[in-house]
Amino acid sequence: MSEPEAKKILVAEDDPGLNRLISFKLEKEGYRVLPVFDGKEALKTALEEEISAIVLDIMMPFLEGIQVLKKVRIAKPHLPVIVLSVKSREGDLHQALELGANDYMTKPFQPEKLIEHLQKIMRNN
Amino acid sequence: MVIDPYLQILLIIIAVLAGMIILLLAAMVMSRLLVSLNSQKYRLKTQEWEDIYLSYLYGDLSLEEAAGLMEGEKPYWLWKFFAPYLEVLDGHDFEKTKTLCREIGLIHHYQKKLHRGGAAGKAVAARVLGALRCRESVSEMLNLLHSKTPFLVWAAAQGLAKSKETDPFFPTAQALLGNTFFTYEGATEILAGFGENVGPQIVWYLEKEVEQLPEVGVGQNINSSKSIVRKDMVDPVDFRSMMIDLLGFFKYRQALPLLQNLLEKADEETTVHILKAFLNMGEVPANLDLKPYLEHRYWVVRNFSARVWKLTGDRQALPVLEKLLSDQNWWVRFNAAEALGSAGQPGLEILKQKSAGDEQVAAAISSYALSRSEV
Amino acid sequence: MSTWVIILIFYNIFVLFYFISINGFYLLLVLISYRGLQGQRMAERAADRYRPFRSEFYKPLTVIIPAYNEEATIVETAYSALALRYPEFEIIIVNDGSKDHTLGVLEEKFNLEEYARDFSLDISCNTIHSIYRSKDYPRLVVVDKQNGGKSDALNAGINVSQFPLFCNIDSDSLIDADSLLKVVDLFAKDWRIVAAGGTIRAANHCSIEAGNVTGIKLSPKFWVRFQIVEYLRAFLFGRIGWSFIGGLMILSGAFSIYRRKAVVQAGGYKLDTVGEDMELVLRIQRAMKKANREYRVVFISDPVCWTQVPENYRGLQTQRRRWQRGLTESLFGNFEMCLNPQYGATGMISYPFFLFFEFLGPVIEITGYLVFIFSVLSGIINPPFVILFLSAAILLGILLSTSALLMEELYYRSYPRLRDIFILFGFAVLENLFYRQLHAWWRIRGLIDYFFKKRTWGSLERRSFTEPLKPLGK
Repeated sequence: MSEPEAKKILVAEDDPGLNRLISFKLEKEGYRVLPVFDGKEALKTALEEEISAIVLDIMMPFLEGIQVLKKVRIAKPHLPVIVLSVKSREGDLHQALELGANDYMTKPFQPEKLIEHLQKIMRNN
Repeated sequence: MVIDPYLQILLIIIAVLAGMIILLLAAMVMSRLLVSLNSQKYRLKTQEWEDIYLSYLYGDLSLEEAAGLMEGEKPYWLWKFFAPYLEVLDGHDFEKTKTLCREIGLIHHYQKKLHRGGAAGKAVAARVLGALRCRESVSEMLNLLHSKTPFLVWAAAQGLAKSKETDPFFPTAQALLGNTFFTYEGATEILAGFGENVGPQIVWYLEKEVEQLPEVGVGQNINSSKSIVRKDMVDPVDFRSMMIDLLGFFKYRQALPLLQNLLEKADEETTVHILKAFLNMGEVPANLDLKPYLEHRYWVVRNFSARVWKLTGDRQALPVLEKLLSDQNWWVRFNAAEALGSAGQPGLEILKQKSAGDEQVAAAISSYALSRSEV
Repeated sequence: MSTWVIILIFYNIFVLFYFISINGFYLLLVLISYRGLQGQRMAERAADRYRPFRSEFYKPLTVIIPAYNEEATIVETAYSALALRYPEFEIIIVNDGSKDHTLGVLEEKFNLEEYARDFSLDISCNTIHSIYRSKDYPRLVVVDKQNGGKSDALNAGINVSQFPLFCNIDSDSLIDADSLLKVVDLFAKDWRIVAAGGTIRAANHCSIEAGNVTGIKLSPKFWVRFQIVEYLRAFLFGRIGWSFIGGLMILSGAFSIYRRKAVVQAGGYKLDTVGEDMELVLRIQRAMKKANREYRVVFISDPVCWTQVPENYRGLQTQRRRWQRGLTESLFGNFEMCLNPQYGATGMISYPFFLFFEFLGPVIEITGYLVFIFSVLSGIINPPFVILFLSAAILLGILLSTSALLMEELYYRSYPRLRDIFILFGFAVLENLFYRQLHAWWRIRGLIDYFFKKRTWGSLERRSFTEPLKPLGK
């Protein structure tokens, strides 16, 4: 039986407005959110903190989402990861899924759907 | 003391110049102060608005409450605040955001600007109304497509594409090519904003082309005045090519059989674009025989055929690729070599042979390809 | 009155009108550039910031960096180029037979290996020894060739590159990451454009990290401050103005982008000239005219190229003498464009302007000062009248420089502290009282060089980008 209050979610998205949007919604659902705005921070936080899932944007400064995913998968192979990207970059999505992302969401999207998918992959874990 | 009138004039001129210099300095100082004040204000405002907007979005605040707190603010600032959200949200949340924008008067403000503003105002208005997907503004933006100012034609085209309405698609395409100096890449990029919903329209248009009814769509004078910048009419071949490029961009694989039909009747330029589309889709129609295109007289066709070949893996074409290693054109040799490099053992064998052979040109490109495949 | 006296008086008046017209014309250009910048701002406000970053919409581009004895700065420049955001591009550093460790430094930092790269010799150039690529950075290519000068190195780079666009960057320049996107956007929106240039700013004493300018500071160096004002006036707002009226004749070799086909058609860079960038721009225009193609040469102010400007008297003098030589060579070499209505504003306005005000200018100025002093000392002219006239001319010059500073403040606000503006204003004043005259003298020496002797580049003591100064040989 998992209590949402305990779970920490890493939201890695470089657009501050969008990051806040997702974080706000997650907090309403009872999660604790760790927002980061670039790839380097994302990787650092993912490896150092006890997190239950990652919302990972593909295009981020300093370190791309794909690179972050690669390195995280080595250290934490079972951590649920949902990847965010722009629709036209199909190649990135395929690559992410092959590298072990559990699910993906293309922009434009609906935040509640994102949360739904996130909860699903967290349950399946 | 009587001063020479000429000296008087000079003194006045000097005074004026000195005065202007001081004025400019003062303007600089004021500008800096104003800007830093404004940016501080903007930051505070957007923080405030973020809380209000997110609370509204997630149901804690009603529409009236949120609108009450946000109306009366600077429209451009509001637009800048909402822009990223409008870009990224979809469905239900997008509609909620749009409703809020309407309630605070943002849509009305920009509709007025679109109708009565100067060039700058109209351009921003088109951008905003497009992002907000305002169907009501589409007809006004369609009018702007006929503007004599290429800048406004661009702004209108962009707004229409963003609005994701499908009806304005063809007029926008014609206007971009006929009323501006845009390159095809530039025009295609804007049209791609319409999204793959225009796929069926493009397919319909190309089907008519295949049936050879050239008067459809293209061929009408967009603007009979002197502001046509490229030709009197939009070139039908170029237009067709652009449509095919878009199908490739949208990865509209439903169009593959159509493209294969078109390929049989296509001229050189169209052929190139169809091959490019196959590349973008990552797929070719079944039973596509590339050999005639690999041996085509136009080097661009040969070039793209070599690239497309990688998608077919047709072993029968290997000898033709080998011949292409001695092609006159560098890009053709390069892509043929790349294709062979990706063809497993038989391909690598050919490259190794050629790189050690007498034919200098083929040897050079084969060695290059071999070294690249080692990366 | 004797004829001599009349001649002297007339010459004095002539020189004063010269000053008023040159300052007046540049003031006009600055005002015109205000319109130009308004247009750019309009476009920025209406532009879509969220465009998909797709390679098929952007033509692939090669960044060519010619390098000769640049071991102190080449690594930072390479990092800056590698940090550029662009879907598909390649960097070709051409090592023009350097006598120092330029190639060695590159080999070490970027893990180079030789490879068999095929290319076509579209423009003749000196022997290319080998071509390397970086194992760590697949976009980086280094061409090692026999020494042939900057033009030859650029031509070699053009040969090796095959992409439809190329960007020429100096080996001591740093480019902002989004610069290429902004420039190519212009090429996509207007098919007539064959060449485009960007802004050059002084990087001296700015903080630099991994090839990017992270903090802009006003250099404390005396000579640099003059150049900052000068660059704003002439290279920024002057050029925006020229570009707006369609008369742009010069693009900075430090940062310029061309359509490869047009350059090959024009025959590539000319070898025996020191003003190869201006020369090429003029020749491209002639080639396009011959081919009956519509063309545009534009200046875009937004993407910025940061470069180290000379910090001392000697370096600056050498540079300006060289520029004057280059200007003369280019103007004489393309004379058919002058007052030729076929070449539009470039032929009818820019060319004669540069011929009279920039080429002949220093001669008029220096002789003017001498004649003026002589006339005053021998009592030929009425001191109060002339002094006032002179003051008016100088104030006009100061007004011009100040308006450039105002534009900088309105549109860019690069320098963070308010007092930087006042410092620059002070230098704008000094510029008209002292720097200008010195500059005219340097340019006369450049003309003497052209007509009587020199043919080489001269050596510039190059300051490394990162502080403290890196020891040579490292």
